[in-house]
Formats: sequence, C-alpha cells, structure tokens
Amino acid sequence: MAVASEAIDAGEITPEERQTGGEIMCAALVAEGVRVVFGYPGGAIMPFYDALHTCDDLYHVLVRHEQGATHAADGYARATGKVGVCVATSGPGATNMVTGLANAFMDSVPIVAITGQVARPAIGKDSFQETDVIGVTIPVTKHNILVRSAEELGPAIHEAFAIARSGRPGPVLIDVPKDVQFEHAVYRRPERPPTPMQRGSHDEDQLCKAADLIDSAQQPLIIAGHGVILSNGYEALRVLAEKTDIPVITTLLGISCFPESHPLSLGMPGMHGSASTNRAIDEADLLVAIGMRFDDRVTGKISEFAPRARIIHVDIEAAELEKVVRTEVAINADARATMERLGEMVSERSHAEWKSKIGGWKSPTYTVEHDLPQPVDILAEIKRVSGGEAILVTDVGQNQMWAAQHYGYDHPNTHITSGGLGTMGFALPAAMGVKFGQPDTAVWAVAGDGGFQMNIQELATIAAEGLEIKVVIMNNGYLGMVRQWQKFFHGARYSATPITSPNYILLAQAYGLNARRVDHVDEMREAMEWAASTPGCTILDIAIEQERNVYPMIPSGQSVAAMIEDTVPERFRTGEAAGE
Amino acid sequence: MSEATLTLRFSEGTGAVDRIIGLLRRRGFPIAGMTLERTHADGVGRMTVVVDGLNHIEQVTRHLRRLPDVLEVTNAGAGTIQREFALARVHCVPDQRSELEAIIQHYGGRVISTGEEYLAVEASGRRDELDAMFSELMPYGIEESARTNPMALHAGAPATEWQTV
Ligand SMILES: Cc1ncc(C[n+]2csc(CCOP(=O)(O)OP(=O)(O)O)c2C)c(N)n1
Ligand SMILES: [Mg+2]
Repeated sequence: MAVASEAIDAGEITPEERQTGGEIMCAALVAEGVRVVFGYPGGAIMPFYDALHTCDDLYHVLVRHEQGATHAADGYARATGKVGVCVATSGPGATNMVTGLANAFMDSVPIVAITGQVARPAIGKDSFQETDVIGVTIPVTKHNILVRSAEELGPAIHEAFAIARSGRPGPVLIDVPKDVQFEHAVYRRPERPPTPMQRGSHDEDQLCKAADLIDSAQQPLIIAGHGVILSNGYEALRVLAEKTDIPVITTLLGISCFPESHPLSLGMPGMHGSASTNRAIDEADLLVAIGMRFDDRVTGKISEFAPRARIIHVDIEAAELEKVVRTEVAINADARATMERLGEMVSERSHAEWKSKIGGWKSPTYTVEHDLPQPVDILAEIKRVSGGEAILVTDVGQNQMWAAQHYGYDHPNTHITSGGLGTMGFALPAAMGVKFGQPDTAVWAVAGDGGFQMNIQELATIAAEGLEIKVVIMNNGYLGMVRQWQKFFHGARYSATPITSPNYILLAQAYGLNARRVDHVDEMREAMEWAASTPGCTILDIAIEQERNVYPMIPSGQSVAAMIEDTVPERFRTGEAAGE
Repeated sequence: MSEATLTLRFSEGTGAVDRIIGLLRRRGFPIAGMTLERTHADGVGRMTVVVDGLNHIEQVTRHLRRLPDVLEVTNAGAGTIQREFALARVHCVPDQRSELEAIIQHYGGRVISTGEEYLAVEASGRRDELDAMFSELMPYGIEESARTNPMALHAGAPATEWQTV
C-alpha cells in the first residue's frame, strides 16, 4: 500500500482517511460481501470487536465455543456457496478452532478464520495467550497469513477470500496481532476481486478420449461427489446422465447433487453403501468419477475396487488425480464445465440391460415390527413433515449413515454433513450457519446422543438468535457406530460406548426451548408434526433400538466380497418384500 | 527407493518454508536433502529438495503446487546442473601444506584460511567430486566440515512444464 502513503504525501488523501486495523478488518469483510460473522471475543481481538460494535453492515453471532463458530461458518458456506467467516481471540480461542478448520479442509469448504494474536513485540516470548497459530494450523488450512502491519491487512483479507474460494475451496486463517488492529493505515477497497475463479483447463484430447470411453462402455457408472455441488453442476449432471443413460452414484458429500427419486439414481457407495451399488461398482466396465476423491470409505481395499473398470476422473484439484486410483483419463477441471462439455460430445445411449442387472441385485427389505421408532421411519417422517424441502444437517455415526441411506434427497444441496473428518458435534453448530444462510428453508439437525452432547452449548446461541432449527436426536444410549464395530470386530466388548444423556426436556427448558421425548413408534407422527409446526427451535429426543446396526457394511479395508448384510432377528421379521 | 530432485520458487512469507517442508513430511515424501536459496528477485525464495520416492514425483509436484506460496515447481532431472558447496578445516602441519594444496587445487577448491596446525578449504562441485576430495582429505584429519545439499539450475531453457521421469 505504498501508493496510499504516496497519496497522503501528495495531499490526495487526508490523514483522517486513515483507519485503525480493526476498522480496516470490518471494511474489508464488508467489501467481500460478508453479512454475518460467527465469533467469540478475547483480549487479542478486542480492537476488531471495538470496530465491529459500530459497523452496521456486519452481524455478529456470539457462539458459545469457538469450535461452534468454525462449524457455523462451514455450514453457512455449504448452504450458500459463499465464504463463511469466523473470529476468535489468540491462544485458546484459536486452538478451539482447529477441529473446525480441519473439518472444512477435508471437505473443501471455503471459510476465512480470523484470529487475534499477541502484539508484535510479544510474539515468541510465551506471552499470555500466545500460541503459534500459524504453525498449529498449517496442516489443516489451505493457507494462512500472519499480518505484520495495518497496511498489509486489507490486501491480506482479500487474498484470504480469493484463496478460500478459488479452485478447490478450503479454509484460510488470518492471524492479526493486537497492535496491528490498533495501528492506523489507509484501506482502499479493491475495484474487483483479486483473482478470478480457477476453472482448470480443458484438454480437448482428454475430453475426446473420455467421450469415446463413455460411448463404448457397456456397464458404465457415474460417481458424483462434492465437486458437483461446489460447482453448481446439478443440471449438467442430469443432462449427462440422461443422455448416456448411465446410473449415478453419489458419495456421502455428493448426496443431493442428483435427485434420488430419479430412475438413474443408485445412492451411496462404499462402507455403508447399498449392496447393489457396491456390486455395480464391482461389475462396472467404466467409472466416470466427477468431483470426488476416492476416499477409503468409498473404495475399501484399493486393489479390489472396481476391478473391471476403466476410470475417468474429473477434479479441479490436480493433486487428487492419480492419488488413489489409476485412471484412463484424468481431467483437471471444474466439474460442471466438464460435464457440460461431455454432455455435448457423448452420444445418446440406452443401458437397459445393465440397469436391470443392477436392479436385480437390490436386497430384499424387511418390514420390522418394533415398538421403538426405526431410523428409517424417523427420516421418512422428517421428509413428510417438511415436504422433502428441508436441508438436513447430520452429525457423525450411525445416525449419519441412516440419514444418508434413507431420506431420499431430491433437492440440490439439501444434505450437509461432516464427511472427510467425521467430526462429532458438527450438526448443531453447522445447522446454525445453514439457517443464517438459508433463513427461508426448513433446517433439520439430525444427531446421535453422543454427538449432540459434543457441542450442546450452542443451544444457547440458537435460543439467543431465535433460530428455527429442528433437532432430532436418535437416542440409542450408545456411541452407536463405535459399539457396532465392537460388536463386529471386538467380540462385542462394549468398552466405553454406553453413554448417558441428560433429560433433554429439562435441558431444553433451561435454554428456553421446547423438547419432546418419543418412546413409542405410535407417538412419532404427532411429535414430528408438533416439531415442524412449533415456531423456533424444537428438540425431539427419539428412543431407538439400542443395538441396531447400520447395514450393509463392508469392513474397513475390505472389498464388496466381505460385505455384511442385514440380519434382522427372526422375531422382528414380518415379510421379505423384494426390491426397494 | 530412488531419489528425485525438485526445484521450487516460492514467495517468501511467514510460514512458507514450514508449509513446504510440512507438506512433504505429511504426505509421506521423506526429504533426503534440501537447500534454501535466494534468487535475484526480491521476496522470491528458492529451494532445491531431494525427496525419496521417484515413483511419486508427479504427486509430490501436484501437492506442492496446491500451496499458494509456491510459484513454480520443476523436476530437476536431466538438463539441470547440480552443484554442492563445502567448507572444511583439515589438520595440517607445515610440511603437509603443499601436498594438501595440490589436492585442493585438483578439485578446484580454495584455501581460505591457514594456521599453525590447520588449513581451511572451500570447494564447490558435483557430489561425486566433493566426495572424492573429502576422501583424499580424510587421512590428514578433517576437524570440522560442512556441506550443502545440491542446488540445481536449469541449464537451457527453463523447464516450465513438469517432465516425466
Ligand atoms: C470428535 C469425535 N470423536 C470421536 C469420534 C469417533 N466416533 C465416530 S462415530 C462415534 C459414535 C457416535 O455416537 P452417537 O453420536 O451417539 O451416534 P450414533 O452412532 O449412536 O448414531 C464415535 C465416538 C468422532 N467421529 N468424532
Ligand atoms: Mg448414539
């Protein structure tokens, strides 16, 4: 910003135009189009908060733990496609953000985290609340920046936003020493965003090769991931799939990028993917993988993954190509742009035989007679009372897998979850961000009794902000997913997995919220209707079968051959309806 | 496992070197050697890194390119000049001086300091040349020595594209 000081010298800018670092931070955030900031103050970030106090264009949400701020920013970003912003003080405030940054990093979510730092002269002296946040967050951020002067502040913030949203999005942290927030400088709003979106480059040769492979495949599949959602590629995917008649599999983070009621939809692959979907991958002769990264939860044992398939891999991140699987064609470009081009290049096909083969693998579904609500019924009820229009924000564990398997997402971007990191405690704070981002859409948070208790403090934020979030706790009295592994792989020794809960009705009351307990399947309909129609945040504490497992399951590191399928106890079985 | 040599140009800023080195460690590419260099351009740092895992060289390169600090990564394979730099203090009594000086001269080195019982030398060259010089100095008694890892320079036109090994 030498230009600015020259301008002062030349008398073009009056010294009065100089602002404090704190004011510059606010101005730069406003210039980036930020409206809401999730944060928590403390000593080293006070000058920023002081400026925020009189900044009418930024709405600050006081969370109850900085992890909540990061997940809220994450949820906001996923729900809007914009950059989410969170703020914390130095030391403990900043370290509390690490999980949320790691979560956003793994799932390619654009957030900007701003942390206060001790004053420049105090850095490196073990000063009060000093932590080397740059060092701590290097492995969990796309980039981080220590701002050394107020002059650098504006450009640093704009650079952070540009990096967070460009290419494969991700979290960026800006560490601002307290004296920099006090220091004066001139801030000039950039005329246009510093760097345009990177869209990758299209290699026509590779595209032609891909189109040829698609045209000649007999048993092809599309596997669509988060990249389709991040690139707004819903329509391009539908066009490509329909023209080529290729069934579409959606990864955990790809869920809701393709309507599950579509005849070509096959749902989720991998560890808890449906049996037919995993068998289809096993038999496929071509995988068109778009904006996904072949996570080990998807592939299982790599050497036995899709053994007959050639692979076309499209990803905006070059480092993802050839990272896990060998590909026939690797295209380093934006998912939507590539699907649009491919959609024009490929020929119309029909894969009736292949589709009926896959249909034939669908496992029988059992009707289970039980007094307790079944996970599948809970999801069906949420869908019914919300008209299928809600955004589901799910936590981690069995509840997450059931929510992924049984809801039937038909609308774009209506499924938000912590995929890569599998962060328990994600759903509740993320739902806050989602609600701020999509205030007119119903937002349901689905969590287990364990994960809900992990960021339960955010109920206070939800109450204070009057957020209309519908919480559903699938209460099995266990850290269910871990218990399931203990059941299968550790001789059913339930070490440290039984978990107690508080009385959620009283807890909700304490926060000024409404809750109901559901103990019987007959109560569910009414309870769901109550939750949907009661204004504000409601909590449903739903008792489910304690030792219910998620099926099917392919044990970690194994292949579809090792799949464990549902074994519903005989006494609960009332029929074997074929097909789904 | 065989080694590969990469040259990187990066913008110097807080954490840039940490990020580069940390990435290599996290992604499982052990650093066998590294030199941190300066360039003629202000604010642009340079590094020559020797990593184990020739087979994954393209992956390393792609991961490094993800870092906003990194301006350019090239594979310093064929077509690059590689040089190392060495300093050593060798035990030397007066009547050994001329012998030692001959060895040093043979390798293009220079005597930079002398004392009653020692002689200090600087030399640069290919790794094998410096190895050879050191093995000839060894019998006299090397008291202290320091050697850098290689720095690499693209001899002809700069290799802007990643080259397949
Ligand atoms: C922060 C965190 N700690 C631990 C785990 C390991 N973990 C994965 S699933 C799970 C159990 C979750 O229990 P609960 O929230 O009750 O959900 P359920 O599986 O019972 O539906 C645990 C402990 C995790 N994913 N995240
Ligand atoms: Mg549970």
